[in-house]
Amino acid sequence: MPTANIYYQQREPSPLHQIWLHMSANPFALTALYAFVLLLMMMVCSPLLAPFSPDQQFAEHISQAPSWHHTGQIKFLFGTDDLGRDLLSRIIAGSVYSLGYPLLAVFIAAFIGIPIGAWAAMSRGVQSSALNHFLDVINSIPSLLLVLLVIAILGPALQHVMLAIVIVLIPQFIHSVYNAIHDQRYQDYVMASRLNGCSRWYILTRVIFPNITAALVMQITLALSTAIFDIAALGFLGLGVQAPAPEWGTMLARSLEHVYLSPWTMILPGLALFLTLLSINVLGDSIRAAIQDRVRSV
Amino acid sequence: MIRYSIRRLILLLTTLWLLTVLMFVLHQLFPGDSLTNMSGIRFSDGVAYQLAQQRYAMSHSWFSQYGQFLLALLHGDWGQSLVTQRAVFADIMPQLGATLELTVLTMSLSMLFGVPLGMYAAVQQRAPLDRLIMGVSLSAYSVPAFWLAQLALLLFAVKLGWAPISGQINPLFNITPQSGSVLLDILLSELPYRGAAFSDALQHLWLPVLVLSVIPLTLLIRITRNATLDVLQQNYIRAARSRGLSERRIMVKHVMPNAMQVVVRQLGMQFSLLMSNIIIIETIFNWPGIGSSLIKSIYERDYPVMLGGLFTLAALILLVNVAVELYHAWRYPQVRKELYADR
Repeated sequence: MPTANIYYQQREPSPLHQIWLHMSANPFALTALYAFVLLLMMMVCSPLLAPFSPDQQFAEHISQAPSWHHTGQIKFLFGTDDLGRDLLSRIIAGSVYSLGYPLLAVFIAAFIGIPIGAWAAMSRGVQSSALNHFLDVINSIPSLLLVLLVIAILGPALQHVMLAIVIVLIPQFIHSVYNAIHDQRYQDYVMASRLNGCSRWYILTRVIFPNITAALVMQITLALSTAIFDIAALGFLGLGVQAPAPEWGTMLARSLEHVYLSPWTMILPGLALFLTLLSINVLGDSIRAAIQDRVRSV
Repeated sequence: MIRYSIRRLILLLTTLWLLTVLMFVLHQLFPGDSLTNMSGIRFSDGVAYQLAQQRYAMSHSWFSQYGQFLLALLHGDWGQSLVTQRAVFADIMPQLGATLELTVLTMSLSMLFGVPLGMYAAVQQRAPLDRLIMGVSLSAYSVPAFWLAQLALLLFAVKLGWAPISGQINPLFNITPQSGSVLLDILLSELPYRGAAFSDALQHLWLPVLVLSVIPLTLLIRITRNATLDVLQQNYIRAARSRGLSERRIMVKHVMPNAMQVVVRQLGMQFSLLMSNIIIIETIFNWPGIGSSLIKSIYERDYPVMLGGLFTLAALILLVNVAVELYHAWRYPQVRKELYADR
């Protein structure tokens, strides 16, 4: 049913919608968004998409070149690695480790970090300096170092890496939510609704929150890029996801030994990682630019 | 300024102290005997173990154990490695030198090229060259450092043979590490073949520095560009233009100092980011720095070395961050005004 516009009414788009309007005018941002959605779909459908099992070895096709090479075969589109495993299947299956697990870690961290940050920003007792300085200090230590610390205690394994990344991301979420709410809290419109007698819960959820969603989305892309990099870096160092699993960083580490003979085993997983990170970073960057534009145009 | 400096320094000391508490707790949390984790002396060492038990007050409360641990830490007695039995502190100092050498060279390279390129991009805003610089810098920022290092090794070291694959210097030169920084060590040494050693060290050095500087360089370009664009919209720039100053004079005298304020504020974060990449790059290039020894100690479960490395890196990052903040507040009075102004 079409919505009937009988009366002239000017509707202000919501903050998030305004950001979307800014972003959809930027072709790079849209490309990044489509690429990211495509990657997500690849991850979800990975068992269906992969032509072979990622662990299946073809003894007669060891270190087969990719199909565009003159010795390549179309059966193995991206070639095979030194154990005769199909690289395309491994890259597709690896997206679960390299994109799915970081996504999960980011959502858990956001689920814990955002309420704590909101609570800290809304309560009067926890005043800015102490908590803020402390979080500044924690965030100044790079996440990889903190993750290494947790791995050093627990030992290398996928679930420990996940735990480490969640622990490391929580302070980042607290910090960004705290700062975002703090910037809004003393604005006139918040003061107006406080004078109207709105409850604190109402102010937080209905007055402030719509204005910080864009900042939150930006923080999520930032955290996602950190998490993907950290999981891949740990896999690369041999401290994260362990060898037979088709994680992209682990595949890169394995390719180091025979990169002279089969450079594609290094270039292709790295390219997948690069494109994933690029699409997320471009998204985050264009959201940041859109927020800036919105603030400037007000 | 004094009040602010004191506040920052107190915060720094508190954080470092918390770090030592964390280290102490970790010694208890790590698998195995906490005394062995702390001192690197095993139970099978007999007398040495009993002496260490007395030294670290193991029979007393955790509180006095921590006191002894802190004293030893302050005296530079960081225990001995479980693998090599060498003193951790004496081993870490040259490693710190090697890491700092990479860091300083990388940061200077990025500043040297990043700031002018960023300003140039800002002046040419939305011109093809600006789009090119910004596009390249955004994609370069997304390249995982370890992949870039592998690609660079494949291209420059294996295919073209322009650089050695790993290490700090050809071991034939027999340079004894004093400061750890290989260039300094060569200059300090009195060897007859210093020139040859120096050029060999440079050959080993340029590839890791180049790979490491990609991310700080691209970030600095972006930050400088955005800061310059912000400054260019200010009224004082319009005023300077209306007074008929030349474009070059405006850029050098009016825009650059103000844009640098934002850049300097970001330097601490850049340093933290660089440190996490340096751990990976040192491992790939087999650079004898803290990062590679940290990773090695995690493989080997060498807890004294591991915690020594973690503590040194964390302390270094905190020190640099505080130093940058203090410099920022000292150099730019408007920042101090913001700090002291009441809401």
